[in-house]
Amino acid sequence: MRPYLSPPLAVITMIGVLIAGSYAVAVLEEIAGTLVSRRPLRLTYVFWAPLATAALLLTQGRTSTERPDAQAWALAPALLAGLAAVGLAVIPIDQNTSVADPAAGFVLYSAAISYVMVAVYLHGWSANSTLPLIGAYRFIAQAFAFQIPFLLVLLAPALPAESLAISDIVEAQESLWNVVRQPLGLPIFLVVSAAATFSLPLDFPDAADLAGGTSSEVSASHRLAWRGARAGLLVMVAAMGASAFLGGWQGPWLPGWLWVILKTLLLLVILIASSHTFARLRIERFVVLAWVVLLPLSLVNIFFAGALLL
Amino acid sequence: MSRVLSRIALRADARVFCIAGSQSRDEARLLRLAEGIHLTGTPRAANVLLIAGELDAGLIAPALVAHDALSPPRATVWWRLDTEEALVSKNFPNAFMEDDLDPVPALRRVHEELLAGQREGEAPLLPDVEPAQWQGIGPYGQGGKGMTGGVPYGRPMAERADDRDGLKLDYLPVRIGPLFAPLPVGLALDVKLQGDVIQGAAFENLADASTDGTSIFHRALRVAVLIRDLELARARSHLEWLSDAVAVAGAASLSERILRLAQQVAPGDGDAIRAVERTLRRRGFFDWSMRGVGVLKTNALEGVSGPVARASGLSIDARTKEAAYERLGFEPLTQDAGDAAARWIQRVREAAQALDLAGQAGDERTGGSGAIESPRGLLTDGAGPSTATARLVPSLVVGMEFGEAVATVVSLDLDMSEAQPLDNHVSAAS
Repeated sequence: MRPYLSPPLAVITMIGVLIAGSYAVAVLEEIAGTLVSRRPLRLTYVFWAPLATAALLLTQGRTSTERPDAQAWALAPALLAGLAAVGLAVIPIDQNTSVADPAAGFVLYSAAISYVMVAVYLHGWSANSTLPLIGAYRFIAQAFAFQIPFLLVLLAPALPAESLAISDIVEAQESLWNVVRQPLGLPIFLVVSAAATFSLPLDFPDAADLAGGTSSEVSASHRLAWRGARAGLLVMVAAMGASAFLGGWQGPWLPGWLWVILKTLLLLVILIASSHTFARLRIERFVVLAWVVLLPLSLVNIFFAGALLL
Repeated sequence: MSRVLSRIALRADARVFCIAGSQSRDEARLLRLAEGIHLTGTPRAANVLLIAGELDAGLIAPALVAHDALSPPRATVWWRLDTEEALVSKNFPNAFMEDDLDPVPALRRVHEELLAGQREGEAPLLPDVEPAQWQGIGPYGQGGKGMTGGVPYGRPMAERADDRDGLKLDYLPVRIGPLFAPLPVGLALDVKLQGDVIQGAAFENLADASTDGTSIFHRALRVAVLIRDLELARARSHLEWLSDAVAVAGAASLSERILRLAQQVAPGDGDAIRAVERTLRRRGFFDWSMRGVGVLKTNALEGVSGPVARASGLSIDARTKEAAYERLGFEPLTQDAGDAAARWIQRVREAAQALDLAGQAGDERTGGSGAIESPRGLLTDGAGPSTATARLVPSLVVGMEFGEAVATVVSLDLDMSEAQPLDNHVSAAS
């Protein structure tokens, strides 16, 4: 049994991590966009822009569509942010520090990922408008396709640890990180993570060809909440990738929590850079890729992870 | 607290939803490069509405709806662009008029005044009422069989129809456009959606028929112009289209870079464009994204000209009949695939070819014969190439997933203001 943070401290930590994480995502997005578009990089602008945009969205009034399912519509961003918080909570911050590190941390994390489908569908459906609804439909196809490879690829690191607790998975990487031990793992994980967080090139529910899809009808604070929650989701998958494949808190010289942050940032940079690099796949291509390539590959990954233990 | 927020928000880019008249879309597109403002894809994300130029009559009603969808406090700026008619000022009485060539300072000023509370937000322009009275024959106002069909409150309800797997499923009749950002200005698609699959489609052209275009291609119908200028304009047009198309494919930052390139290219810069083609290929725009989408066979291409026809293998180009182009060794480029990827590649290669030609052309002139190869195809007095191309849309998009349909329409590079005579309702069903 590891020491947990005290409940008030845990709540404050979670809120802090979500806000700081969303801010980091927004800054990285801004930098990536500036570099790809070859605008001159103005650092004060890059660091101010997310805050200023958030303030602008908070000062504006909300609008509504005609007869939305108002409660469900308001609930969707909160649900998504809550799922990000649940997923982040099971990831240890340091060797002896975690918000919640249950024996079945992996199961809780997987449950949070599965419910992303509910949050996105709810967000699209409850707006009572065409483009969000199409976005919602798209995410159902997308979610069915990415969920099984997502779980399988995260299950493989649990085998050498012989435990479903994330801290045990990190500890089992003391001699060798899983990114080396299971070379298929991290690449598959990054692809399904882009799908789970609906980032480009797999941003089907909120795509530009739907003028924003499920978020095309949201305004002001609602828009901010949805964008913040999605950024929180990105942090959640990056933090898991850092713990499951890059050895979490393990590393020389620096304190463990700093390693966790640096490794999470590294994966965020990879995810955001690829979202500014590749063209959006056709959704049909992605579904085929997930079922025909990613699913068998993640099974092969598990098979080898198991064979290595024999 | 709210004063602190407003102070911080002053540093944000003004969120602007831009509605361009069909004659002003080139000017409006350039605003994507402006600093201090951010153009949004949906009015909900903006609180300043920018109307560029004179709006086509058919766009006024949708523009009013978009106005009311802006986040309050909202304001309207009309960037007049030397237009004279008063359709906009009559319908948007509170619009702030901007005669300057650069609307960004005015947009910033309006944004800052709204935040500081110095400018009162505009009230909605439309009454908050149902578009029609409740009308229906069934107990719930429905008009068809069972619980489906009919138009209660003036809105068509879902109806049942066969789907592609032979089941009877609901379809939803909806209108996409004419201000839907990914589609060309003025194109309204009436589609029957089953899930995200289009089962029937018709379109309406809401753009005003342009009587006299001001582009160099229109001028070349009557007088001879320098090939150098004409080909440079062709390359720009293709690159501006590419910038739009790349944005719809999700790559906003790359789209900005291409748009900037479109402003900077000079005769002889063909290699810069070939580098763009390599970039796009490496990033998967052709093979992952557009391959196999919206295939056009040559027998479907009656009357179609320009890059759309040449990407399907038809080697037709008005330039081949001109002596000046013959002296430059011009040969039309063609491809066989006929899909959206081929049309993308076709335009990129033609842009490179145009810059090569412009570099070699010297003082050669062309035009004045009443027919010219414009970037979209054969332009003659009174008829533009988009008329024939637009007619392909309904039958092409039926059976497609929504995103494929959008990608297909984008790949056709339509200009609805030249799609005339107004052959308004063309439809198709599965």
